[in-house]
Amino acid sequence: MRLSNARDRFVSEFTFPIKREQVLDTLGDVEIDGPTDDPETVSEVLGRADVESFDSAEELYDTLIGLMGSEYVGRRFYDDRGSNTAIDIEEVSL
Amino acid sequence: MSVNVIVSGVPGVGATKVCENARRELGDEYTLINVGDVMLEEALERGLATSRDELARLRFRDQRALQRRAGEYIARESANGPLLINTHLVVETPLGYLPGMGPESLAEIVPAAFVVVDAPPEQIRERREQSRRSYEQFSSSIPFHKQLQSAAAFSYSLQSNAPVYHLINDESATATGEQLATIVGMMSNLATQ
Repeated sequence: MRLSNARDRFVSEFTFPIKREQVLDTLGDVEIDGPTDDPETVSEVLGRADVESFDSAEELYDTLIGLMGSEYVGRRFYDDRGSNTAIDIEEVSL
Repeated sequence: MSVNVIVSGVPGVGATKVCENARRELGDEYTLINVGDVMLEEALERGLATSRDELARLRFRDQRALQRRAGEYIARESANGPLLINTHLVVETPLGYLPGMGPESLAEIVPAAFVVVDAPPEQIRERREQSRRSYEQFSSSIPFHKQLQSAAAFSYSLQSNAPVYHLINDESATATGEQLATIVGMMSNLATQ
């Protein structure tokens, strides 16, 4: 599951509020696609959450994003031989 | 061809909840895409931002690049079926109000309609205050933001030859979601005739 598809999945599969255990029962084994070779599952990520329930799809999504491992952030375009900060496409500017 | 409907609202108006309710009404034929989610995923992978707040504070150049990437992503997703796309047609930044979509993104998405979710300014203000999300980065000029959004919707409408619908979300997001689903269904029926 891509992070960009997660909200649609949450909305279509769950009724809110929902307990974390119910989320894990349904989606716990689903891997979150990312730039690493060893993607985490929903269960592994939400296992780090200190909340037991979610009031909305937005809260669940925000929790997931907030708990993604540091190995996810910035890895896809990481290059230890050069710059990693800019988006390397030409853009218009105001 | 898939029928893509773009939904927008001033932050705090409840457009996200309305879209989620409409998605449930429409069923699995439709996919809900939150453009902010797509941009945040791309920003996370690039190490540009780790939260919505950081995303909002990115340079405009980077935001525009992320918008373009989101447009490309949505175009790819559109090949799999119709989309309900939740976005902001106007983005408030420290540099001022900026367009939420570039011409390239609009061309990629090919919207069938624009739906502006609206509510009285005082109600939007109350929802912001009651929300668990922070709206500190947004000014209190809600009426001006609403005006810009209406103007942006019609400008995008002219560029894409798609109509604009106005939905008032002043009571129940469930009822407004049902109205949105009706509009989307109508657009879908028109496209198949």
